[in-house]
Amino acid sequence: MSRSRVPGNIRRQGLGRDEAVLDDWVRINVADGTWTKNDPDNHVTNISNTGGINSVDIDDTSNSNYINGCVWYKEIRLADGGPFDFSDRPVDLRGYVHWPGTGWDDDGSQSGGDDKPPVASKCYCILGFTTDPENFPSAASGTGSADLPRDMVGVGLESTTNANRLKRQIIRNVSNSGTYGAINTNSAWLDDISSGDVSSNHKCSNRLEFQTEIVKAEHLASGNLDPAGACRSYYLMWSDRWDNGDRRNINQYALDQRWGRTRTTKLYAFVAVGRNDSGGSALTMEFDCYYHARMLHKGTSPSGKTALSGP
Amino acid sequence: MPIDPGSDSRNRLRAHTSEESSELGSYELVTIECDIAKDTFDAALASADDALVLVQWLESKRTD
Repeated sequence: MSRSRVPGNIRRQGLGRDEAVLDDWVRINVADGTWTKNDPDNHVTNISNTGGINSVDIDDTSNSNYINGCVWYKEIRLADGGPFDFSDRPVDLRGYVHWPGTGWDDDGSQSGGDDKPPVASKCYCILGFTTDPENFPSAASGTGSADLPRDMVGVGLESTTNANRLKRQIIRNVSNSGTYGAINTNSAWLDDISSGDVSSNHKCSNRLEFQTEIVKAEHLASGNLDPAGACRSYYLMWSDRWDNGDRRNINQYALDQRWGRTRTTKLYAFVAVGRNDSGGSALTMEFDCYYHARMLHKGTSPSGKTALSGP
Repeated sequence: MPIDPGSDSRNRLRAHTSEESSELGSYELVTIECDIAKDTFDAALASADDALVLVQWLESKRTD
């Protein structure tokens, strides 16, 4: 009689990582019915997804706070269905935003691609994470219109009036005053497409990746909005790629986003689209977004604390 | 002999400009990620002319 088991220790299956890890990129389909939409002024219509690419029509309303346009959000879960409780566990967060329908003609100066969105059309697409989606604006004006998630970070692409380049936009809330704080932004130009870029098959810098980490910051003092010892994301790394996938640069940004001002027991992913200016015409935007959220360990750091933050 | 940080491969630099908007107001930031050989940096500290060369090298590497 033969036996199938090889003598010796039982070999561990998998890669030895925590089984309760959500450990792959998740492609976002805002039309699959699992995302909650928040669009208080109803400026986004014709929401669809074809072949993995989301498509929406955006009217000419200006929603310059980035989270007061149309936002879709969904709680992210561990592989076992549990929540991302980051109160004593560091979390790795990554995102990717791509406008596959925006590009340039071969002379590097004219609108090209599928024109979705057109160049210089003053629109944005932000992918981010938050703890308190109930604080997205509940109204287009008046009470509720100034609401803002207390803990959030988002990174994405923005089209301005420049016909040759897009911008990278970071949004966050590092305020320590008021009920919700105030939105903070940081934008930087992506590559200015020239004939030299086009000859290298780089017609647009229209792909963005980012990565940040939520860690415990035990030394933080409390403030008006901020709890003492709150979790925090100190730095954010971002990288842009051209339309053919070639990487351009890797950059860092001093994020300083606190986490846990509303709760430490849940994390949500969100996608926000809209316009940062009321000028121009309605447009169609195609966007492709992925996120990757990973609980890094279970509080067994040799430092005695999470995130190796102390002796 | 003036310093020439751009021709010394020990020196590495990347810089870009961004627009910041926060409770401190709206303003521009220059973000610099830089490694400079200590003797080069010391030379720049000791000489106004070399300090200017160093700043010009920082400026020349901005990618925005």
